[in-house]
This record gives sequence, C-alpha cells and structure tokens, in this order.
Amino acid sequence: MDEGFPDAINKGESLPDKDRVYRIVVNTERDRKNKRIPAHRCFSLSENDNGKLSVDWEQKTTPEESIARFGASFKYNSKEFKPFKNREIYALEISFLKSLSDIDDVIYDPISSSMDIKARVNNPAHSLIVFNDLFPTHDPETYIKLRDHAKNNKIEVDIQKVGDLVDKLRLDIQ
Amino acid sequence: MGSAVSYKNDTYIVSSASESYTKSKDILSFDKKWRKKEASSSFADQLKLSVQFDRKESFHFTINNKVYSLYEPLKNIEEALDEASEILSYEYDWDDEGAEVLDVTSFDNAIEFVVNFSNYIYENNRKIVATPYIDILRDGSVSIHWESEMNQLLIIFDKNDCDSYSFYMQYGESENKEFIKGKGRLKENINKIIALWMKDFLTQ
Repeated sequence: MDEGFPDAINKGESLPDKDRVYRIVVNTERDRKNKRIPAHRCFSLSENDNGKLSVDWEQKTTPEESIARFGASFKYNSKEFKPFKNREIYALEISFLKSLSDIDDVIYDPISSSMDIKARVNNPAHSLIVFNDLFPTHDPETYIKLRDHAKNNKIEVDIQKVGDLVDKLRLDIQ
Repeated sequence: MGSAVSYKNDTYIVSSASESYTKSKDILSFDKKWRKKEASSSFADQLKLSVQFDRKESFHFTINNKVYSLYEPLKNIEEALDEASEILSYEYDWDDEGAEVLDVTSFDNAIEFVVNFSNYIYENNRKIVATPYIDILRDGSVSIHWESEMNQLLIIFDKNDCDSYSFYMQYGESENKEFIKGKGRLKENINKIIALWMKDFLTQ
C-alpha cells in the first residue's frame, strides 16, 4: 500500500468512480488483419479467473510499468518469460464498468510476493473487475459494450521504455 | 432503446424479442413467405433442392475434418472459416494468462452456424453476408462477430451450454443504438429473426 497516497484505499475496497483501470490485451496477427483489436476475448473470463478480470489501477502505475510487469513474469509452468511486444493497453472508466449490469464492483487488489518466489512481480496497481454471481459465463452484450468502450480508449505506450523496464525487472528476478 | 430480453429467464427469448419485430411490415411478409415455403416443402423437395444446390452452384471445403458446402459467391465466408481454423491449434495458456484450449464442439457449431446462415441468406435474397470473425474466448468457448459501419452482431457458443447459443444484435447511429438480444436453439436449423436481421444489416 502506498502510504503517501492521499485517499488511501485498502485491499478489497472499491476504486473511485472517477478513475480508470488498464486492461492489457494480446493482439494477434489475425486480430490485426481483421481489425478486431481489442478482440472480445480479451474481456472474457476463463474458469481460472473465478469471475474476476485482472486490471491495473491507473493511479498506481504507468502504462509502461504495467506491460513491463507482464513481460517480467514467467509463462505458466515454465521458466520462460512472457512475451510483451504483442501487448496493448486499453483504459476502462470505472464509472462505465459499474454501469454495466453484469459488473458488481471494481476493487483494489495489490499483489506483493515474497522475493523468493521467482518471476512473481509485485504489482501495487493490481485490481479486479468483479462480475456478479448472476453473470452467465458469457454475455455478448457485455462483451460488445466493453470492447466498444475500450476501442475508444487505447493508451499509447513507449515500447522502448517498456523494454528497458523489462530488462531491469528480469535482472532483479534472476 | 431496443427490445432487450433478459436471458436470466429460462424462456425461449427469441420469440419474446420478435414482438418488437412484428411491427415491421418487412418482417411480417418475410415470416409469412417463409412459413408458406416451409409448409409446402416435403423432405423429398428439400433433398432435391439440396442436390441441385450441390451440383450447380456450390463448392465444398473441409474444416476440422467436416465437409461443408457454400454457394459459389460466398468465397469470403470460406476464407474466414479456413483462417479461423488457426484457433484449433491453440494450446493451454495461449494468452499467457491461463486461457483454456478450444472446445471443439463449440467450434463446429459456430462453423455450421456461419455456413447455414450464409447459404440461407444467399439462397433467399441473393445477398452476401459480411465476413465474420470467428474467435476463441478465454475459457475455450467460441464467438462469431460481424461488424459493419454501424451494426454488429456477436454470437457466443458457450462450451457449457449444449442446447443454445446467445446473441446480441446492435444497430443504428451511435447516439441512438437499438439492440436485440436473446438465445437461439442449436437444434433449430435457421433462426428466422437473426437471418432477417443479418440480411438487412450485415450484407455486402
């Protein structure tokens, strides 16, 4: 928790409506060719998500730091770092998210790992979009609204800066 | 606003959504024409039609070891389906965030949906449906997305739902969007409401 932050928010508490969160999405060659960036799948849930979608709170990170943390993490069950050059960031307004009937809340959920866990990067910005219990596994209306909203809020990222940050974080981890 | 129908109700929502559609003259006449056609066509007629269709105006192709036929002018559809086969090869964690592998049944249902609706619309209206984007969702379910300048249709084949698919159709100017949402039955060959909407809003 950032103690110097004026309106301190604790883990599990709602983020302010006036703020935004970042969602990191993967863009594939198919997505680019078909002009489907971001793709709807980037806002869908997998069974491992337990009804919550990971995002970063804009107040606690820069876009470059968000992608760099991703690039400094290991892939599932592997010691290979995640690729980060095929990622983009879209901002989602919290007031918009809370206006969707399928979304209950957007809560703060910072991650801080102990240093001996390899390739787990602390993330003071980590937050969660919490879908409500009644949310069917997939609601096409919600996906269309999320994607349309995100499409208009693409965040430009300095990829050189991301690369430098990734190098630094990876060195810290190894 | 459009005729939103919650699909938390355990009802067949398409018929509810059609209430607003019945205001449209076009739809009434379309529906009447279709019912007449359906009543007069025997299984033998349908078979005959299918054989003629296969021989003279169509081409065949294979996706995931299944053979499909499309009317000759629908090459854009075949190309999109062929390209979508890429998602069959995605392995666990394909997005590096724990995404699951493709549910093959949902994929086959999606391909069949695109083929059936594209053929149906071409056969009845000589119109070519816009190119769809078939994609995997993070739990392995499958989506089909059509988009034109102002309109879009998203259909989801949920891997946990063996009986139906869900859809959301959005149309109109940005300040005044209308929508229809609901569920269609997988066993129903062609959902006429969706077909008519696609013909009006998503053809080239």
